[in-house]
Amino acid sequence: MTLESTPGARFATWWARTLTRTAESGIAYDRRAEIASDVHEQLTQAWGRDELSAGSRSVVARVLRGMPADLAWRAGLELRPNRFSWHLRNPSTAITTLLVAMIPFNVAAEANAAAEPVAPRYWTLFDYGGPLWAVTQLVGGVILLFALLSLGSRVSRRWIGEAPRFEPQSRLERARRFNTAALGVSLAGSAVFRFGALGPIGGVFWFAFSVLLAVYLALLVGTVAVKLLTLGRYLPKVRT
Amino acid sequence: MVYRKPGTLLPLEAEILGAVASRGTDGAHGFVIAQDLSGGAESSKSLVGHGTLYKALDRLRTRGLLSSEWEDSAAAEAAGRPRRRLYWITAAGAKVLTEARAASPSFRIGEAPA
Repeated sequence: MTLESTPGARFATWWARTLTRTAESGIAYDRRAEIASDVHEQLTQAWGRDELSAGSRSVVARVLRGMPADLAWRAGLELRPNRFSWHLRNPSTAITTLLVAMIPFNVAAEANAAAEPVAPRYWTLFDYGGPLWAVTQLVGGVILLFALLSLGSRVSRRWIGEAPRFEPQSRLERARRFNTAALGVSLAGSAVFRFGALGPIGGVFWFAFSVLLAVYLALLVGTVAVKLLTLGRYLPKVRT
Repeated sequence: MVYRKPGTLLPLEAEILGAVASRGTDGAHGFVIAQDLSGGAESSKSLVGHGTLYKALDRLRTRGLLSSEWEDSAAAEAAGRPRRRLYWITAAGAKVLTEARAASPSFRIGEAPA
């Protein structure tokens, strides 16, 4: 077994790659290279002591312990200059992040609405429905506004400037990213245009969301199938 | 986000500066710093997490307290390992470290200042 094929090294490599997937390329490269060097040094020392398994477990523990700081560092990268231009050029990441933030409030608001006939309002001290829907629609509004800005930036290149285009690793990934962004916009639209006279517009968005969700699940199954078919590539290389 | 007065060091940052300073002109790379923080290669104390360490190194470098450079690729390739990123303490970093040690005389690498 080589050092790079130990579970610890593979986990650390996977985490570094996932964390920096959509980060600025120079910063992403430096972080991945630094982690690779650190892991190599640690496992080399462990191998020298004939404690490679313990060293591998220690690497996993270090990755796990550092995850909160990693996420804070990654979030901090989004405050760098020109980052907004990059997101306008490649809207999928921002829309997906906002969608993930919106979903819990949306689900809670829907659950609260569904429970209302069973638990009338006067049974609770506070009506949670209003604030939950307010937050859902606020985040949904931000998603829709961002999507409009992103579309507009394709017409007026002034906002995008020299922001690089994100290159997916495969056509499947490109399709997934596009589909996820479209899912986010359609769910946001169905939440924002939900009440009153705007309800029918929300209904159209909800129909689009249902179709896109089916497509997303199909893409997910396809991705898993591709990974299973190419499993041989992920087996550890044995050094003789 | 940890609040701090401008110009002050977090305990981890002070330890990192101390560890890098102790390596002198040779410089120190991430794993060696992590080992020094845990009390050395023979220590049973857990090594600091990657995220925590490299975020702190990034902060110190941005503040001008550390400088860094990637080692020569040929040297790393000859040694059969990935390139190391080496860190050195700057004059500003040495000054801040001296002040931190003066503020907490019992401070040693591997222990957080009081």
